[in-house]
Amino acid sequence: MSLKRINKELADLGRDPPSSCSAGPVGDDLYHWQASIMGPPDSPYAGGVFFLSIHFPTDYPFKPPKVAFTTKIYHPNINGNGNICLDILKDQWSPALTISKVLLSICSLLTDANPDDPLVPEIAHIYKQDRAKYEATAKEWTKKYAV
Amino acid sequence: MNWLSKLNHSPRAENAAQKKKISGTSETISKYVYNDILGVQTEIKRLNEKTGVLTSNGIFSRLYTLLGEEQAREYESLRKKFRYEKSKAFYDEQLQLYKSHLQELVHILDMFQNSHTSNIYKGNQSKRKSTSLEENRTGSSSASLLSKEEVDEIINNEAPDQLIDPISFNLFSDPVVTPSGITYEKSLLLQHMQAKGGFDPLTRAPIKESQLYSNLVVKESVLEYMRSKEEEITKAKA
Repeated sequence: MSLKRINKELADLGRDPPSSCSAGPVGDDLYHWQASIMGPPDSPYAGGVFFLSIHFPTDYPFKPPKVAFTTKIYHPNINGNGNICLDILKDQWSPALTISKVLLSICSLLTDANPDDPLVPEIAHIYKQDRAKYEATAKEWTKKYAV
Repeated sequence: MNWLSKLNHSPRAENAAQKKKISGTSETISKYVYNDILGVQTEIKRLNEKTGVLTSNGIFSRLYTLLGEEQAREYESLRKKFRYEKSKAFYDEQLQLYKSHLQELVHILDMFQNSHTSNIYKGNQSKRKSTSLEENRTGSSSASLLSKEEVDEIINNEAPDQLIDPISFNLFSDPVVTPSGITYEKSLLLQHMQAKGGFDPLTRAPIKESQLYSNLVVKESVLEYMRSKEEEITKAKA
């Protein structure tokens, strides 16, 4: 069933692509996709294009896809390996979610970080104590790695 | 001049090729041009013998006849204009007339040749079309050209959203409705509840198996949709 559903999601993405994101299989393997997200304009990531890798488990959609950034990004909920701390990718996953919805959630995570459930405590600390410094560093990283 | 190349394979080609070198009075040049006219006419006759382009195409045959008559009329009125006297002025005008007649003939030969090739092309196409139609017909007599899986896939892919299970993205076969009012494929919803727990996948409201009811309206709509879609596909092929 997973392959059929992945195929359908791919077709839906082609028919009605979400704004500011794109996604598709890397090669012949439909279980391995690459996605890109444009940095939201109202965030320090504006102007950057961030790439992500997506791996579907064989029991998708009962298990969440594994989604990780391959572009370096300075964010309290995303660590140096690109792992994302997002509830819907873990315990809050639902089989009614789709890659398109996941990418949109990641977009809003870029706009509104969640410093109370951080993956990188140092960045979360700066985010809370010195917002201007966080924004400056995030902008700098965006310019360095995502433009 | 491009029409010269058209004449290269005609028996009068030599004359035509020499034309550039020919110098002399309008009277002598007229003879050569007239020779070329005869050459093109022969060429058209031969083309017709070979392909039947005139015989088979009424409008071409009529066009060719009318052109011939019109050219003869023009020549006659030229002779009349000079009271049938062959003066130098007459030869000058005759040369111009012959030249334009030759031009016209070359154009019409070109038209006939192209129409003939396009007919061959069209003939092949319609031949190909008829064989594929025949294949379709023989195919549909043994059910259809598309395999059952392909038909199912089309039916599934073009289904309206409300007939599609939000977990598998497939048409419902045994739809159940949750307390939130969302419909799921029963076996898949149960699989989700076993794996992740008792919550509605879309609304996250808690659910128990005992709260699920069959959605008979959706079930009936799926069957109706499948029937009409299958009919549509079969009709489209016929």
